Amino acid sequence: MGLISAILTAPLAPVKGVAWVAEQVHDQAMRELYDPDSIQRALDQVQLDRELGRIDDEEADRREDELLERLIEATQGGPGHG
Amino acid sequence: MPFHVYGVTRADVVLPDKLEGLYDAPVTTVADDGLAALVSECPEAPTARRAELMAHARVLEQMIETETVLPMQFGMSMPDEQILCHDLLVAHRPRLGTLLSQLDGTVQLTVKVVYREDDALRAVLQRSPRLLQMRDRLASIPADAAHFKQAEFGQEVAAELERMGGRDGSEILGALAPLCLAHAEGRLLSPYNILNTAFLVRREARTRFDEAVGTIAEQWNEVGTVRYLGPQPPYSFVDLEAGDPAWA
Amino acid sequence: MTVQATQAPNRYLERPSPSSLADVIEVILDKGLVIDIYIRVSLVGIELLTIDARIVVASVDTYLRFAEACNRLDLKDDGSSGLPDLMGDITESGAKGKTSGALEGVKEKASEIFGSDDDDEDEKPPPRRRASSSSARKRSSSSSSRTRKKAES
Repeated sequence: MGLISAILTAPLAPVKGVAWVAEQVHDQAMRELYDPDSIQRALDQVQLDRELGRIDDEEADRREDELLERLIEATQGGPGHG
Repeated sequence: MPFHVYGVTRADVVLPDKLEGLYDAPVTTVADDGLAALVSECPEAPTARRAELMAHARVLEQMIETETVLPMQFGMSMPDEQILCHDLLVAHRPRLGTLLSQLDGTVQLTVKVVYREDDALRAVLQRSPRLLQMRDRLASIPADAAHFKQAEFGQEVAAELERMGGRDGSEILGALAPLCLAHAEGRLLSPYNILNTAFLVRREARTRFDEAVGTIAEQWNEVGTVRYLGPQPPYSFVDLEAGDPAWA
Repeated sequence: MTVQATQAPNRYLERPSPSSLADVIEVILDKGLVIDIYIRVSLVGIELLTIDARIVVASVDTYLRFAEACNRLDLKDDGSSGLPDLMGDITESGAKGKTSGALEGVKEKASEIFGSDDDDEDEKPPPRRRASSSSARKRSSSSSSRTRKKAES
């Protein structure tokens, strides 16, 4: 389910307040950031941009390296692990 | 010194001259009774950067040109020869032997087909008078007033795009499936990705498969691009657990 | 602008291409043989956000992008099927890296991931529904003949 639905339907949600909601949004953002499919999608896009000449090789390499680093972190359970 | 393991092949394998793998280390074998692991020495804590990933794939793709190789997933690091023999080759001997026989004479070829955005959306609209009408109606309403209706329109377009992609993907798969021993469908990461499939193809059937892919690229050129990869080791067709595959 | 087959030799490919980093990653990090206790990095068992990767989370924003992409389309058949994306770049705003279309959602996501944007918009198409529809490729006879003429000219 979507993030908003999840927050609104969670038991006791109204009681938890703004800080709790902020944490949920942050957690969701982190999950997406470290979701292997999202990272793969981004890697595919970099390759496409490279092939179509939208970005130069140096920029493409830089983006790929960053995405790869995040992917490796994802295999180790996310940031701050391993 | 630990070993990085690339794959498993037969002990009588002939390695290409000066084949180098991760960290430019020479690729060698560790053999046990007819089976051999393709390995190279690697640091205690190997990294997984671009260079290492590409080196792993490159070694395998070079070997598969002439040999049957069962690829390891990237990151298999074994502490020494004894453990490697015992925990890989001996422990899984029957399964490894079976896989090697089954996969002899085959390679993996991967076909990915992606719609070009504008061409695909154009196709969606041109096939649906209703959606075309929605678009025309929305064009006459100022953007901020039509927010909700735009989203509705977008949702219908996306649904139609997915339907179209599902049908087109099936059609392409239908054209290629008869030319392979087996296929394994991969994940489609957007509604524009309509095929992402690994095909197990007999070596002697490669030219025919190449031609079929070329034909598909030509036929689908108006709306999409085809990415054709291989020959690859059978990444999608090896498993230490599973039972006999249908093609064996 | 006519794109001829001879100018783009890899367009009608009959030979496989070299694997890109994206291609390699897709295949060596969660396929192939693995023995759990010796694997250092693996995507196997990593929890994915969705089972169907095309559906991230449905959102108004994604649908608006599809609508926007459609609204910007020029539906007159101009015969060019060669480089629509590049054409989009050239004819749209000269904004660096900006292109039209729903794929823009993926591009923006890519820049969100490695940029400093903490926007948490997603690419969210709706759930797939079972229905038959005609193929993207089978154009109306009129547009096919226009394409053929283009190739001959």
